[in-house]
Amino acid sequence: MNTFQMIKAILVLTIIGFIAAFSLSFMNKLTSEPIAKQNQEKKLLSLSLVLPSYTIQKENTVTIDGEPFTYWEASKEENKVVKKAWAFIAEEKGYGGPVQSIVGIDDTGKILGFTILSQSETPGLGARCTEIASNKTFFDHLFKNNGSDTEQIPWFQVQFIGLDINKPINILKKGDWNSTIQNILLQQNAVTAITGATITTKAVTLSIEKGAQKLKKALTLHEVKQ
Amino acid sequence: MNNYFKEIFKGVWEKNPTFVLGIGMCATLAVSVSISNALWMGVATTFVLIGSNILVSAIRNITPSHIRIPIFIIIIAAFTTIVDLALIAGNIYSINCC
Repeated sequence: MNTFQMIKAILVLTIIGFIAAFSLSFMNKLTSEPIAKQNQEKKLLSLSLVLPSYTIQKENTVTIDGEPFTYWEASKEENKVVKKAWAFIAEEKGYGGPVQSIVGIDDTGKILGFTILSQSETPGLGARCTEIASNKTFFDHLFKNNGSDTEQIPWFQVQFIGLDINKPINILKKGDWNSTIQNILLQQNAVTAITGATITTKAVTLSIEKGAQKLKKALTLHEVKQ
Repeated sequence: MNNYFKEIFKGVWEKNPTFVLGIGMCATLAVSVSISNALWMGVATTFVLIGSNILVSAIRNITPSHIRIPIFIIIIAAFTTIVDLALIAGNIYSINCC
């Protein structure tokens, strides 16, 4: 390889890299606004989903163990008694990156709702944590027929509702969730793992447990301040 | 005798359509569990393949052969990221929370 070839190789690689970086930054500029808007909308939607019938009072961000921790305070009036509830963002490393979720809990420590905000798990395995079972066919889709679908929340996320965060959340391997095993799972404070993606399931339960501890710390901090 | 082994090897490794399709299609197969996923996966794959192949063949003659692979990687990765950003912005494959 002579000097001319080397310089040519460097030059070509530099130019290609520059063009690629330029087009990517242009694309990023174009899409960053809609992406941010959608994230915000999704967060609001998720909050209303994990705290049904509660109204959000305020959003707090505190630093716990050197990491930022976001939680929301919500309340509702029931029989003239104000009931409080909290929602927080839980995050833990899964198989293919962080799994981020929002968890809503009431004043007794029961999970009111749970939804996954973002994940990058393996499609077909870990990514099934956001899968909604559907009976829709291609023709239903074409003719805007909703078929017999009633479920709107992924089964993996439904099973967290009603669990107690003061106790450790167990993982059972009973295959896909269905309403017949709901009672067994609730009795044992457990969820059923996604087949072939136990790591994802573990990451989610661990993130909820850790998030609950952080929330307790944050709330005591808050009381001390007042 | 040697010839027979060659033929078997060809069938199993070199010219095995199931194997080639299986590797090439595994990502598509795993994602296409619903109509909208499958549709957009198809659109994205088509766009990336056509775009990157046109660009790669256009600059083929000015590319020194020993740095061909890094250049192809850059081009294909750039196209993939562009499609990725566009799909997220269009709320097509965001993480379906509800």
